[in-house]
Amino acid sequence: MKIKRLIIIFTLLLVASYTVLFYYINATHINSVDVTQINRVVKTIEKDWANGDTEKTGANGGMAYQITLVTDENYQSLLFEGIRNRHTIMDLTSVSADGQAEVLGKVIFLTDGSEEEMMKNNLLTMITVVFLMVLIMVDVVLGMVHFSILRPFGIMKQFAQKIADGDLEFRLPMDRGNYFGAFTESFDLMREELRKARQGEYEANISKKELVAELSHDIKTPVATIKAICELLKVKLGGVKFDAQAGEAAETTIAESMEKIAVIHSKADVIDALISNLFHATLEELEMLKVNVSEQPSTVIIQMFKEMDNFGKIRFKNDLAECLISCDPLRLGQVIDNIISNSDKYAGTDIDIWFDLDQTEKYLKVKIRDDGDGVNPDEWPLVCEKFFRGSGEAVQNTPGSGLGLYLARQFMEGMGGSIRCYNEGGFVVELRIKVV
Amino acid sequence: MENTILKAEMLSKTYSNGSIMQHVLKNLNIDIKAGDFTVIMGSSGSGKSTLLYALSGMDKPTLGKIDFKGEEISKYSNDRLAVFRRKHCGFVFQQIYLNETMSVLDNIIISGLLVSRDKKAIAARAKELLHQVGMTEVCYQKYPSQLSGGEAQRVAIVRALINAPEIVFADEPTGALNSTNAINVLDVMTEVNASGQSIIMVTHDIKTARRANRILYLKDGVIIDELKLGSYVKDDPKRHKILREFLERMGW
Repeated sequence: MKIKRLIIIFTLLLVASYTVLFYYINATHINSVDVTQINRVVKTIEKDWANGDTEKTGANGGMAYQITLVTDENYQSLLFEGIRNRHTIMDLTSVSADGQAEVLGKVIFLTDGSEEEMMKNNLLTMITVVFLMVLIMVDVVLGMVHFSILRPFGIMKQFAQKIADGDLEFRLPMDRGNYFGAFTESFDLMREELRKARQGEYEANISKKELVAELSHDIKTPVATIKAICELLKVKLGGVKFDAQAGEAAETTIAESMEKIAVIHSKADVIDALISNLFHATLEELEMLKVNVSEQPSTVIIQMFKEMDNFGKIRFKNDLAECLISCDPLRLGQVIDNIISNSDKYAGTDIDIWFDLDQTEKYLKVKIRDDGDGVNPDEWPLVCEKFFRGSGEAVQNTPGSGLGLYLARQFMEGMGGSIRCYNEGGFVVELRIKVV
Repeated sequence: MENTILKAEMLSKTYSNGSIMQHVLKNLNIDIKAGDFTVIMGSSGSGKSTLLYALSGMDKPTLGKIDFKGEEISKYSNDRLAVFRRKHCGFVFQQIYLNETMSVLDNIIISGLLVSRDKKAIAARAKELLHQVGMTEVCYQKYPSQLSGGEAQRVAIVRALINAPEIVFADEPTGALNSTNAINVLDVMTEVNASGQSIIMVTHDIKTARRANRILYLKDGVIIDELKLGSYVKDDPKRHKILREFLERMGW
């Protein structure tokens, strides 16, 4: 392990520096005063003194000295100064003629303090080095702890957050050299499994919806057959001729049958409408209602209206400006289909169409208006919402799913355009189609 | 709008091949003023020539309208368009298309006869124009094969001008000429323009484009920008620099 090795290296370094320090301090011996030498010097001075040719300060044998006589005025102060400075102080004596030794003064040996000074400096350096080493070691160890423990924890926290947010694509980076390597690996495995499970769920959902879409499509065929047979029966029964023998009884039976057939027919209609909605809703959930935008001449819009104009109710109020628009003809056709059939269903009046080309904003406005009751103003913003149905009488009395305008908006937005609904003497749907 | 002679509104041209539609021009709006020397530039396939042909009535736009002096020519029938072109448009092409079996003068006069019956007047105008483009009398009776490329193109310009058209449409008029002849022809066109003739020209060549006072840059069927240069001044280095910078910006 890195950290272990580092700690060992640092410990060894510390021990080594301690040893060096110990031996250094231990080996530093404080010089004891060389008594013989001092004595010799004092004797020389005394001899010289007797001869009378000695200065008051001087040096002998490498030792500086100062002489102060008892008779001197500053004798006391020099003496105390010497004591304070830990100088070596000897008596200066002279032997008088009668053999009596008499103290003349003191010889003060001026030893300097350089040794102590040096020792102090060396100690300071040593302590500084050791202190710095300890500091670096602490910092490095803390850094290692941060990088190898705290940070991986942080990443793991982030990872957990992402997983919680449902982002299962976020991989947890793994470092095998780390204590957490194995840990992180298992976390990542967990994520992988979660992702797989979710993917499986998603696919199962899709296939379920596809099944619904297929089934609803398949059911439409027999329903259409039922409707066709109902119509056929109505025609056939309506044409039955009664002879006198069959009488009234037969006539009533036939009338009853006609009624029942009408019920079957209307119920089949309801089933048909419901299945259509189911089909569209499922397709929409499957996101299969893709919009493929291409550049088309604006004249295709006229074509679409004409194809929808089964009852001759559509009136163009002005000319369409020719230009290139960007749209998906199939989807734009569905949008127009939905709007026109809504008008047919709920208003049943004539439908007026206006075109307006806005060259600065670069869109083509198509305004489609019927003469019906319109929609409650509170509900204008809602009419394009999924499954929303207006509260008006006409809407409530007509079957529908609330998907038509929702899909219309989806398609228009997919084509880079927009849709807006409001009342203006009838219900108005305004399409804005992007111009190339 | 001062003196707009040609105006296109939401002009689109689409070539269809089965279900595949190719939109060569997309919702173009263009104003051409009288006396303008307009150059249309753009890379190959950007729709330059298509635009020129649509504007000149040689081809009909798929969508949109073209107004010539307030008349919507995009609604004209083919026959009516042909008459319109003879009267109001002059054409100069890269290929010169002179009739090889006729003399220079006849080549010009026959174009004049499409509009007017007065042969004498036409001949007089033809001579005057030939003189203006620097063709001497010696050339009048020459046949196109005896002319140099530059001379032939100058004759073609005279032919384009003989009916005093409002607009001359030129499609790479210097494309097939060497540089001396090209400069010669361009000088003629600049001079003609200076005398008030409107010109719309398609070109690939920056030296040619320099002559224009207005440059439209076409890209994928859309005019992405235009440059107004002011009237041509010979050897104006600033003009060349502005044009070069403009074209660089357009990704020329």
